[in-house]
Amino acid sequence: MKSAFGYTYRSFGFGVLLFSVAVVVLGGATYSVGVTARKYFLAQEEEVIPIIAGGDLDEIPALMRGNLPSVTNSMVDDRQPRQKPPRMCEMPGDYFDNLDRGLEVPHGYDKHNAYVRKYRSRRGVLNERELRAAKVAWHYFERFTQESTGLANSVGNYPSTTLWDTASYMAGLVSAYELCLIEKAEFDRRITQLLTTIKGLDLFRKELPNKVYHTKTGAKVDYTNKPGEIGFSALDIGRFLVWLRICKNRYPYLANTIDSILLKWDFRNVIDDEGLLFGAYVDKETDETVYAQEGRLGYEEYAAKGFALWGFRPKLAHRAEPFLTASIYGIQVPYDGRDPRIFHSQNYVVTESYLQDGLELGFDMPYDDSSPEWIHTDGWRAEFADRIYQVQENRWRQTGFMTARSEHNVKGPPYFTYDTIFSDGYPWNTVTPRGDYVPDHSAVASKAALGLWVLWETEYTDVLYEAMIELYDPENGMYEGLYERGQGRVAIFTANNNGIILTSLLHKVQGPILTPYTGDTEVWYTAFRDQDIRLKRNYPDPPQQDDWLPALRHSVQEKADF
Amino acid sequence: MKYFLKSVVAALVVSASASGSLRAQTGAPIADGSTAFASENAILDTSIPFAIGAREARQALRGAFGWPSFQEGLVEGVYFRFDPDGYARFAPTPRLDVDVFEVICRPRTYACAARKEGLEAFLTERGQLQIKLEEALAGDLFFVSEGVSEIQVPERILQPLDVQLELLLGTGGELLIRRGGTEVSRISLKGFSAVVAYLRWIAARQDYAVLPRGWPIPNAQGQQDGSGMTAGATWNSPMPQPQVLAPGYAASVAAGIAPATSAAPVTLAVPQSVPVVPQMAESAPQDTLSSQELRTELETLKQIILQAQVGQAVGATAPIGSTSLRDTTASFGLDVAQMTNRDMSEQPAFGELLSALERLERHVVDLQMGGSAMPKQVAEAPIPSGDAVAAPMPVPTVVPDRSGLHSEAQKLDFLVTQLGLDTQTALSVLQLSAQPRNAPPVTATRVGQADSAGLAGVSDERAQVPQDAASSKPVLYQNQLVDQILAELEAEIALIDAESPASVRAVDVSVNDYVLLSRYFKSAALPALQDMAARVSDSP
Repeated sequence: MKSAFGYTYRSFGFGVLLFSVAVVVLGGATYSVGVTARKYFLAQEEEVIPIIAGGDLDEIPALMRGNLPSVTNSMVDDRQPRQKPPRMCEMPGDYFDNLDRGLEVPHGYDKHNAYVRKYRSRRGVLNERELRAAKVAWHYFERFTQESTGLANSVGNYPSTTLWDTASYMAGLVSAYELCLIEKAEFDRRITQLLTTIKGLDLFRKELPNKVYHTKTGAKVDYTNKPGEIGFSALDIGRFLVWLRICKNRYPYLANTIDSILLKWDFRNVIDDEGLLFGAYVDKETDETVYAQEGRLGYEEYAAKGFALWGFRPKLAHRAEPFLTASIYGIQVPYDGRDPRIFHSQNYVVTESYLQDGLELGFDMPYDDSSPEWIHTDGWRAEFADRIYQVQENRWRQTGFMTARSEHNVKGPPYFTYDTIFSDGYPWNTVTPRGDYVPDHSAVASKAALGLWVLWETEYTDVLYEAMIELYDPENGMYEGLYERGQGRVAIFTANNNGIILTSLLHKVQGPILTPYTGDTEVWYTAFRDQDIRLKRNYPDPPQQDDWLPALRHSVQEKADF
Repeated sequence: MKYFLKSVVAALVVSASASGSLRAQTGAPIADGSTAFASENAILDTSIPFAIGAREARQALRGAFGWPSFQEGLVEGVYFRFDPDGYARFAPTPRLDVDVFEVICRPRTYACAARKEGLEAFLTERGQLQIKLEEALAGDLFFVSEGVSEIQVPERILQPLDVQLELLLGTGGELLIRRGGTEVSRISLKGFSAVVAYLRWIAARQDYAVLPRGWPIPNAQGQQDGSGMTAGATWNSPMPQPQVLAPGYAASVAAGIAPATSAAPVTLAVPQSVPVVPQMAESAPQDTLSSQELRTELETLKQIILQAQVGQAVGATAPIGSTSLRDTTASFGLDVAQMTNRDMSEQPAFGELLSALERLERHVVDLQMGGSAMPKQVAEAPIPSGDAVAAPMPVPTVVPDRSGLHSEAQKLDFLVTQLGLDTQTALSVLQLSAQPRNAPPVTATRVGQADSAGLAGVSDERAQVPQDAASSKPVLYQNQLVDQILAELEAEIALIDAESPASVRAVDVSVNDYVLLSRYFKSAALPALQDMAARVSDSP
């Protein structure tokens, strides 16, 4: 019997061949089994990587987490963080000549969901008119700051204030110093007295500051300015946290004082595990504290970023959802989708919260300390703000009504109005806090007008500027606004209005107000590591990259919608 | 020396006035809105619903001041919202944007006025409704228009309105003003009746008794402090309920007995359930003491009022104390409102006056109701055995609710302020109505009828006091005491009127008004009331 190649199976040659094949197969199998066995049994020893204490793989115990620095995008991307701009009177003559404004960059989202706006901010030194407005606005705080406490009145000489308005006072104070209206001695005296008073405030049920305080005594009061407690506002606290962070980052010598204020507060109920913000009020019948979700689209995200600047993770509060849009003059205006009939909370769309985000935070994420001024890393906030601006310009162009809407006080009943772009299903709805429609009180708000003027350099905002820049009383400050229906000026003077106007003017000089933190770690993160206080009061750890709030985008309106 | 003294006095006066004006300048708030929310300006409790279905809500406040709550609801086809200071808006649309009646109250008073376009409605000092029309001139003709139909209304709509005219304007439609055949003005009356009820409700300190017949009020007068007052689920019937609850029902509610239907309160109000309280006789010395205290306080009150009058005479302003007295002690609330029109902070005597008034009012009510405190004591104390216990029949112990009782003073107030009677007429009516007090116990049906007829207090008290208890001495004694005191007050006031009529006349009431009112009452109101009282006394 022969094979196909002419060999017989019993030949010598076939035997040698078969033997060779067998040796090769067995050898190969032995080798592979050996390698595999070695891989399984000996590999562990070879791949052990020693963990260096404090290194990347070292899981730092809670006791030591406070030592970590907060991670910002300048650290991750290895970029140079922004620098604090010099005061206006210390600026070199060519400061604005070399400013990077990204004028050639088209508007829209980039791949990281950052957004470049259609219009740029105004930049430059203040001219004579603007400087006069700044001085008058600061005069409000000179006149209505209480010597005894260092707190400024919210409205005129009525001795009462909130944390929101106290933040406005801090805004005015920082602006006055940076615009060289006051010198450092005066700034230090005022800010130190203010921070000391705030640290000594009696908290609402040992949690967080009461909603309202008497500015002469520093006592917590109710809405009628009588001693009592009414709860706390997460939005007010959020804005106050923004300004504490601004002060701490700009003036590191205030850091310990500022940290000691916050280390008295108890954050266990103001923010939940999902990152929603909660305010508190007192149940009228049972006298128990009731916590209720607080904030609607616009204010909620602004306050959330205030909390995030201090390491909290207000993930849900920072998201736009649930939101809907209403088509007004061709613009899809976003508004909060939570039904007021169900949640008993109005969904006002006003300019103010977007302005504050743009002026103070540059529409940037809390971890962003290095992107150029014209790139807004909290992209959808800037894109929504563009819509808020555009719909007001469109109204002016199509109806002739100058429009810069915000919440504002009015003289006489109802004393306060939400002068909205949209609310309760109606565009240009001017309503009282209880919901009455009061169109006679619609007005061009001074703070909104000058804020728009600074952040959107357009022909329309030039008109707003001309209407507002001289709208002041030299003795009392900038007027609240100009009635839309021709009743004249809104003859009320408030801390919020004058504070935001000063912030706007400072933004023209220095850009976004928040500057990067220049230190390594903070007492805010290291204190009480040896106790359970941090756990009980919900104090956060320094945010790492995994803790960053997500940068999101929403669909962009490509063309006008009619 | 005389010149020196004059100079010193003049200098002191000048310096005092200068410092005062300086204070006024520096202290005057720039933001007048902030002071509007002082707690003293709160005259309404927004947790007490104006009508069934109304709810209290929190205001969305962002600033440092404002009213923390308000009330909103729907009644008689109009939506409404009001604040603790009485500021309210009534409109046919929930947005309260068009066709709005706006109610504004003078700070720290119960003096409110409703305005819509050229129409202003307010209550007079006597509680009568009066309207003002901006466009109206002498010789104008007035019409109420409903669709294509019109009826002419007399010119006396510009005077305090009688019931018929008020009802006519309250039917809705529009009020037309024509001058020489030309229409001058057309004012919508939508919401007029609701606004009028609101004005009366404010003036009566949110007492449901003043609301019109058939007004949809929650069936829980005795639970005004209850947490479920504004929760719709706690109301077991959406239908209109009796406006005044019998005390037995209020007690049962307080005891946790769930209200069943609209008929239930009437059933529970049957007076057999009221305990016989012979212990009241034992408390007679206490009553005597109280009456002495009452008289003492009356004297104090008179002195304070006289002092206030003397002080105001210097200021040459409208007299208030005298008119307050004339309106009897029952109208203390309105007097308080008048007095608080003035700046209380500048006149400390008014504070004393107010506290004295409040004490007096409490005493009057306590004495009048007597049992409101005493039955509670009876219920808590062991029942003594012996002759004192005249009623061995086991009856349920019912603690009459204080708010459910209507004192003689309140009745008088009702007759004077709501029906527009003068004081003497009102007293005579009260005496007429007091005659059948010894009549057999009223039935539940009668209680309901009487309540709905508006004389709630009369029947209410009768419902509380059974036949045997009604004839017991202490109750009669208390009523007599109050009547006696009121009569004494009337006599004194009449004397004061006779002595100085000019000083006690209200500035805005003319002689013609009195003549007109007197004629009107003689012709219409008094016979009608007498008939009504007779019917009540004749019925079993």
